[in-house]
Amino acid sequence: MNIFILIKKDIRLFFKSKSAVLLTYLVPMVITLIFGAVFGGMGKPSGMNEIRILMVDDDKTEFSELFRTTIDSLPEIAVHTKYTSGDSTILFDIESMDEWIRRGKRSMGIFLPKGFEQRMKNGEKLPLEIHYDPKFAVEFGIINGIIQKVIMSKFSQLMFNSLWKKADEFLGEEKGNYFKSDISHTVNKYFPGSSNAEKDIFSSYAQTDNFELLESPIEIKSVQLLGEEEENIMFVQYVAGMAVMFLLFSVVHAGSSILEEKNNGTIKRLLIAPVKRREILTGKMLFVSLMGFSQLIVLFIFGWLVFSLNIFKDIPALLVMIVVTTLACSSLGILIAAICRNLNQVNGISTLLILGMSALGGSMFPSFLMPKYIQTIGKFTLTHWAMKGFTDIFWRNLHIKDILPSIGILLCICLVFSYIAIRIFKKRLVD
Amino acid sequence: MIEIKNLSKNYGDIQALKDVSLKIEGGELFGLLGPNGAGKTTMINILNTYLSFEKGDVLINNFNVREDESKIKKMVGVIPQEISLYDELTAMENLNFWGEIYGLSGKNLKQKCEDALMLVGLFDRRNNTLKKYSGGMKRRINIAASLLHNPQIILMDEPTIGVDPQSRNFIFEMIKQLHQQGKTIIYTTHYMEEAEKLCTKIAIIDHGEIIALGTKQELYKLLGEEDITTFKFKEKIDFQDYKKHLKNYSLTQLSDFAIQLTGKDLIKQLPKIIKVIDELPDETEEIDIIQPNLESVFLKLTGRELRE
Repeated sequence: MNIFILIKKDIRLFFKSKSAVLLTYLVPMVITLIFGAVFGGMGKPSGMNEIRILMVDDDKTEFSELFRTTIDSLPEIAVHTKYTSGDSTILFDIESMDEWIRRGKRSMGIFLPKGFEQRMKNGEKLPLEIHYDPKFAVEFGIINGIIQKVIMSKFSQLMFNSLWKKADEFLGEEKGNYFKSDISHTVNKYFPGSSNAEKDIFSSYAQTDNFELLESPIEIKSVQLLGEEEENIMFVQYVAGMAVMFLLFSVVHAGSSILEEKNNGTIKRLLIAPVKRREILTGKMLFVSLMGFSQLIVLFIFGWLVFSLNIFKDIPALLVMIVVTTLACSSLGILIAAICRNLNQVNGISTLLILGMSALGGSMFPSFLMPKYIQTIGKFTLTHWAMKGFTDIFWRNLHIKDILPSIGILLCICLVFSYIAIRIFKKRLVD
Repeated sequence: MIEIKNLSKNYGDIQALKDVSLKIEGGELFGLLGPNGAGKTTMINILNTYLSFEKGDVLINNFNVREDESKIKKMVGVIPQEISLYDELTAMENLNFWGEIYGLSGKNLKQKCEDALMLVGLFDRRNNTLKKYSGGMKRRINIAASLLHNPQIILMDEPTIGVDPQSRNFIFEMIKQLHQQGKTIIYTTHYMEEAEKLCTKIAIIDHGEIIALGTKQELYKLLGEEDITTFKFKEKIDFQDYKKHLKNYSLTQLSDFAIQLTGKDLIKQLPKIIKVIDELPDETEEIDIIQPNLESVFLKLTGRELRE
C-alpha cells in the first residue's frame, strides 16, 4: 500500500508544479503543432505551395504569350511580368529580373529570348532560360519539371511534328500517312484536353524539320545567379541557422542568471550596496550581449574553418548584423527572465519559444519549404530577421544599406523587449 | 547614532512594524531580539535603505534614509541573513568583487581583502571556491564582504543561522573585536543566549512592536523578585487540572507536556508544590529552577516562548 501512497504524493507534487505540467503536456503539444504546420500544414492536406516566379518575354509573339499564360494558369505557379515603381508599372527586363532574384524577392525567373516563336516555326528546339537562386534548388527542380511536363502535355504537337518527319523518312509517304492517321486517332483519344486554340496554332507549325524522334523539343539553359563560389550552399543556411538558435539558448540561460542571483540574495546585496537598479539591469544585459556576440563570432569562424563559409564578404555588415542579432536575442532573454518567477518557468517558456521561433523563423530548415501562411507567421519572429540578414550577406552578397530593414527590425525588437523587461524588473527586483 | 521615530511598515494588510521608536548610540552593540516574523529583518532592511516605509523617520548619523540613500549606503555595512555570495568564485574573487562595488581598487582593495580574510580566519583558504567551504566558513566570508569598506555602522541580520559551534564562536569573537574598534552594531537574533552574551543593549520585538528595551540587567528586572520553575511530564497533561490545583501560583502552559510556575519565594515552597503535582495522575520527568534570562522575560511579556 505504501507504493500507492508514494505514487499519490508524487502525483500531487507533479500537479503542484505548473512548469512540470507545462513541460510535460503543453510544450510537446505546441511544438508538435508548430512542426506539423511547418512541414505539412494543418487540417486537411493543403497541396503544394504556389511558386511565384518572374518572366521576361523578349520575343513578344503570340506563341510566347500563349506559353506565358499556359504556365501562369497552372495552380502551382504564379507568373509576374511587371513591378511597380512609384505610380508606374514597369515590365521586367532581364537586368531587373536578375536583381530581384539576387535580392531574394523571388526565387527564380524565366527568360524567353527573341526568336522563341521563330525557332518553333523552324522546328528548332525552343530556347528558354531559367535564372535562379540556388538556395531554392528544390523550387528550381520543380519549375524545370513543370515546364517539361507542360511542353509534353499542353504543346504535344511539337513532339509530333518531329515524329511526322521521322515517319516520312523511315516509312515513305504512303506508309507514313497510315502511321500518322493511327497516331492522330490515338492522340485524340488520350489527349482530349488540348484546346482547339492550341490545335489551330500548332496546325500551322506542322511538318517542320529537325526534331529528333521523341526528343525533348525544349532547350532549357539554367543560369545560377548567386553563391557560385560556395562549396555547399546549404552550409550558409545551417551555419547561420544553428548559430542563431544556439545564441537564443545561451542568452536565455545567461539572462535567467538574474533570477538565480535574486534567489541566492546577491541582487539584494547589490541593491543594499551603492549600486542602482538600472546599473544592475544594464550590466546584466551587456554581459548577455557580450557573451552572445562572442558566441556568434566563434560559430561563424567555425563555419569558415570547417564548412568554408566565406565570412569575409562584407565584414562591417556582418559585424553589424551580429551586434543587432545579439542585442535582440539578449533582450528576449532578459524579458523571459523578467516575466518568469523561477528557473523552472524560464526553462518551460524558453524551450517553447526558442524551438517555435527557430522552426518558424527558418533557423532549423529553410523557410521557403514551409507553407506560405507559416512563412508569414515566421516574419513575426526575430529569428526570421536575423536569418534574413545573415543569408543576405553570405548568400546574396548584399551590404549594410541593403540589409537595413533587418537591422532596423532587430533593433526595434531589442528596444521594445528591453523596455518591457526593465519595467517589470524594476518592480520585481525588490519583493 | 541611529534614531528611529514612529516607524511603521506594512506588507499589504500585514503591519510589519507598528510605530517603532528607538535611539541607538554610537559605539553600541545593540541586540534586536524577537521570534521569527517579529519584524527584525524588516527593520534592518529599512535601515539599509532596501525597503521603503509608510510612516516615520529614520536618521543615521543625522542623514535621513529617504533622502541620503547613497551616503547611508557607504557608511553602513550589512551582513544579510542569506549567504549572498558567488559559490563558483574563490573567497578572494568574491571579496574583490564586493570591494570594487564599494569603490575600492588597486593595492588598497587587495590589502582590505587580505585584512578581511585574516579577520575571519580564512586567509589560507582564500583561493578555494566557496563550493568547497562549509556553511560556517561561507558565513564568515559573508561577514568579511560587508566589512571591506570599513563601515561605521554594521547591521547584522541573524548572522549565525545554520552555523557550527566553532564558527559561531569565531563570529562572536569577531563581533566583539569590531565593537572594541568603536563600531556601532545592530545584531538581530532569535537566540536569547546570543543577545545576552554579546549585546550592551537589547530591544525585544514582537509583532512589529518594541515590547521591552534596556540592558540585560534592566530587562531582568521586568521579571520582578519572582522565581521561575518548570515541570516537564512524560505524557500530555490537562492544563486546567493543574490550574485548579495550583491556583495560588502564576501558571503558564509551555507545551502539552510542560508548565511553568512563577512566584515570590517559589523555591521555598517547592516541596509543597511537588506534593500537589505528585497527587495528579501525570508522571513528572524533569523539574528546572530557572535563573532569570531573556527567554523568561519574553515569556512574561507575551505569554509565549521566544522560539514558538
